[in-house]
Amino acid sequence: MAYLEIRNLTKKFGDFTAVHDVTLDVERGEMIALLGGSGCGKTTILRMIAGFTAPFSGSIAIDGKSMAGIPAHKRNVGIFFQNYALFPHMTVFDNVAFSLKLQKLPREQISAKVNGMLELVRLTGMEKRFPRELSGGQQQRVALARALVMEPALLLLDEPLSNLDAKLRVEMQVEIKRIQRELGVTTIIVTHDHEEAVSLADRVVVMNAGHIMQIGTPDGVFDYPENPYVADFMGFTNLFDGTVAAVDGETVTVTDTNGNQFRAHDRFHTGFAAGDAVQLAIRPDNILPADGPGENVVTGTIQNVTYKGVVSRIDVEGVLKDALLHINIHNYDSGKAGARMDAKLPADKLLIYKN
Amino acid sequence: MQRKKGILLLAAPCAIVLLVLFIIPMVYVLVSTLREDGLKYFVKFLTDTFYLKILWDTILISVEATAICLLVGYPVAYFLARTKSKIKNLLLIATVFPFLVSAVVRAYGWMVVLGQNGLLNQFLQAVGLIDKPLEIMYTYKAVLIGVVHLLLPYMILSITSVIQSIDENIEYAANSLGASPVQTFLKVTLPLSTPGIVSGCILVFTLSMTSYVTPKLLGGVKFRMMSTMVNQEVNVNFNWGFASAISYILLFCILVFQIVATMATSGTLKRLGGAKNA
Repeated sequence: MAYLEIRNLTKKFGDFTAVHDVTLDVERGEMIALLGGSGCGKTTILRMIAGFTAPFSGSIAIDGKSMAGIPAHKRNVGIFFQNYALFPHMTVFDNVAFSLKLQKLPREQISAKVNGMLELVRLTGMEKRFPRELSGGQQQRVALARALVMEPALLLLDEPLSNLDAKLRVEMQVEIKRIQRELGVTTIIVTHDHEEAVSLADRVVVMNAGHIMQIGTPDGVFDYPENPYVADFMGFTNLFDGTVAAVDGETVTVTDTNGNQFRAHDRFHTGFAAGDAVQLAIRPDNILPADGPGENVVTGTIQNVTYKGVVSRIDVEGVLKDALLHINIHNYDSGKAGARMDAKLPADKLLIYKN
Repeated sequence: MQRKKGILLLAAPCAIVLLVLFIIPMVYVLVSTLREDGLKYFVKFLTDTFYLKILWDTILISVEATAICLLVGYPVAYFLARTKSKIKNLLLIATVFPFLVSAVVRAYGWMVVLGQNGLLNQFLQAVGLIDKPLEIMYTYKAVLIGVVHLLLPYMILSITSVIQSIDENIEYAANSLGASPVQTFLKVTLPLSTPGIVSGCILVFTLSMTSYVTPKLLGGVKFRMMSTMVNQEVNVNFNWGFASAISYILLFCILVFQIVATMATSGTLKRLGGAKNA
C-alpha cells in the first residue's frame, strides 16, 4: 500500500470539473511533481490534500488513514505557498515556532527545534527579524522551515520557485532537494515549469484540464512524452500530422502532409497499420544538421536564426506544411537566413502518436 | 527632495482650507474666551456635577456605541471581505446605503419605532411580552440605538478594507500548521486586522462624541450630550464663552482617546505598516 493514496478524486465547481477522476500513489519519502498549465487542476488537488476544500468524490489516504472529514488543522500536512504567506506580525522565530506553540511543547524544546530548523535552512541569526526585513530568498526559507518544523506527514510545495530570479532559483532548487533528502519527507510539488519539475522530482505527473496525462520518471516524461499534449508541454515544438505508409515490426514509415517520408520507432507499442492518421513530434534540440540526403533528412530554407546563448534557434521554411521546423544547434556558425539547409530527424528521437 | 516638495504642494489646498476654515476659528474662539473670562467657564464645567454627568454620559455612550459597532460590525466585515458571493458588491452598497439618508430622517424613523405608541411597543404589547409601554424615547437607550445605527457602516467599511488586504493563504497556512479556525482567528486574523479596528473605533468614537442630531431628536431635553449642550449655550443662553469651554473639553477628550488608541496598538501597526513595502 502506498504512503499517499489518491483514489478517483474529482472536484467540481458548479458545472466546471476542475479535477477529473485522478488516481495517484506516492511512496514514502518520494518527491512527486504535479505539472501543468494554469487551471489544470494541480492546485485544487493540493488544496484537497491539505484539507482546505473537500473533494466532490473520491478519497485521499495518508499512511493508511483516510482523510475524509478530517479538518486541515488535524492533518499534519505542511504547506508552502507560492507567496510564502508568512505571518507579517511575527518574527522569524515566532513564524517557525507557530505550530510547536500550538502543540504546547516545553519552551526549551521549541527553542531547540526552531534553532535546528533555522540552521538547516541556513537562517541562523535571523530569529528576531520580521518577514518584511528579509529578502525573497530568506522569506522562502522561513516558509520552508515553518512547514517542516512540525515534522509533517506530507509536505506540499505550491510553485516553490516561481517568485525567484534565475540565480536564486537554481540555488533554492538544490536547497529544497537537499533538505527533502535530509528529512526524508514525502513531498508533492505543484508547478507549471517543466524544468523545475524534472530537476526536483522523483516522478512527474503531467496534468491537463483536470486529467492526468502521464505519470513517469523525469527523463521518461521529458524525453518520451506519451501523447501530443505532454509532448507540446515538454517543449516538443515540432508537432505535425502524417499518414502511416508502411509498418515493419516496430519501425513505422510515415508520409507527412507535405510529402516527406520519415521512419519512426513505435516506442509505446501503440500498434500502427498502414493508412493510420498520426502525429509526429520532435524536440528542436534533437534535430541534427545533415550533409546531403539520407534517411529522415529534409531540406528547407532558413527563414530566421535567433541567437539564444547556449543554443541558436533556426526556423526552417518549406519542410512542414503551414509551419516552420524549429531546430536548436550549439555553436551555430553556418548558413544565415535565405540559405538552404539539410536537417536530420533521427528515427529514435522522432515520436509517433495515433490521431 | 524635489519630489518631496511636489507632494507637499499637493496637500497645500487642503491644508489652506483647514487652516482658514478650521484652525484659525478654533484658535480665535479659544483665545477670545480666555481673554474675556479666563478659565472661569472651564472651572464652572469641571466643578459642577450636572455638567460632569453630561460629559460622563457622552463618553459612556460613545464607548458603548464603539464597542457594539465593533462586535456587530466585525463579523459582517469579515463576511463581506471573504465572501465569494456574486452579490458581494451589492452587499457592500447595501452597507453604505444608509449614508444616502440624512441623520435627521433616520432619527425621525427611530422615533416612529421607539416612541410611547411606537412600532416596538405596539409589537411587544400585541405579543404579550409587556403590559405597559417601555420608556425608550428620550433616554440613553434611544440615543445609543440611534448612534449605533448611524455609525455602524463606518466600522464595517474600515474593517472590511483591512481584512480584504489580508492574504487568505496566511489563514490557510495557520490552519495547516495546526491552528483550529478559532485559533487562526485569534492568533492571525484578529491581530492582522488591528489597523481596521483602530481606525474604525476612532471614527465611530469621534463621530459619536460629537453627534448632535441623534441626541437632539432621540434624547430630547431629558437626555443631553456635549454637542446639544454647546448648541444650547450658543443659541438659547447666548453664553459663547461657556460654549467654547465645553467644545474644548470635548475636543480634549477625543484627542486623549485617539492618542491612547493609537499608542496602544502602535507596535502592531508599525510592524504591519512596513509589511506592505516588503
